[in-house]
Amino acid sequence: MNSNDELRDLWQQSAGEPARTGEDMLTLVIEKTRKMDRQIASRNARECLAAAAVTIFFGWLAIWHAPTAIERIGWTITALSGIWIAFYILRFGKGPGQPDRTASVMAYASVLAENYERQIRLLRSVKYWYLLPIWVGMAIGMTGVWLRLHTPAWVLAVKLGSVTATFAFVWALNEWWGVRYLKRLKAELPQSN
Amino acid sequence: MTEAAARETFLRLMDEYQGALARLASAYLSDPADRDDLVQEIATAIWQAIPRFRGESSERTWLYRIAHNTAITRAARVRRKARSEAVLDHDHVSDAAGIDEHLIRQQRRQILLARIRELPAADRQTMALHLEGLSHGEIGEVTGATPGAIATRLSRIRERLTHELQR
Repeated sequence: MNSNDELRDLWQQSAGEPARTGEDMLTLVIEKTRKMDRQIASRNARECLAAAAVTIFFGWLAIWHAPTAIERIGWTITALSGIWIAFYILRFGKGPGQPDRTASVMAYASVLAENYERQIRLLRSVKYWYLLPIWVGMAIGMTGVWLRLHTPAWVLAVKLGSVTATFAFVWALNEWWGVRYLKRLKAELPQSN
Repeated sequence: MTEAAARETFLRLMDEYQGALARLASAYLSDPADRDDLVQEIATAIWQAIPRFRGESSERTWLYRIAHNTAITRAARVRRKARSEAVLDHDHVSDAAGIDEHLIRQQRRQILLARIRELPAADRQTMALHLEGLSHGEIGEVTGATPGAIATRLSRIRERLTHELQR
């Protein structure tokens, strides 16, 4: 037996009996397809609901609980940020969708690599389109509250510091963890040679 | 294509290729639960693609394209774990070698799979397709590589794997 035959022989023995019948597999994949559709629908709904919650809450603050112009400006910017973020995610976040799995592996890997690149760019720019508008709105709003109530400066510093720290954490998660993870996935793709 | 026809096609494909899909999964992942998940995901992708199959390529190359494309997406997420397990497989094999013929064969199979999993993705796919009996032309249809590149690649991988098995 030559080495090629032996390799093939070993390979052919490497899987036992199929784990399930074709009918069982069909039932499973139909359920899985439905579940995936539900997950996509629920993820889109969650994104829109989160944006709506930010807009409604800060809009309500801006209209009914902002006695000064500075507060109104701050909460309005934050409320509009919610709409802006939802628009941005829906417009740029989804990308071209899943590449065609019936394409050749090289073609598929190339589209997948482009998708990862786009997601990396999106995560790297989170600080500008996601965090900055909300942070600016909240900073202005909190400054307005501080000016109206005449509380000590450290109160404003602590509040702004907390918000900034939270945003910095979100930024770090995206920039370091998210981008590194996507780069690792991209590096695993087959390279054309 | 009607749903009944799609169901019939799917059942036939599973009947014919489920073993091959399980072997393909083992070229990507070492954990049996991960492999089973991968086979399910490939089957789901096949089910979703059946209505769009127009016969531009052979059914076999079409199926392997879906399978490998699904595998590279999913396996990348669990590859680190798979790598460490592959090393464990090999250690276990070395300690127990020489007990009896059946065991040795089983161990050689494990070494082969572990070494295939360690190959770069393009090499792994080429070798898995070759071991499944696809011609160079068919491998080219699946991977997008030229027949010349496939021949060179196969010769290099075969030599390396044979050498690993002889150690």
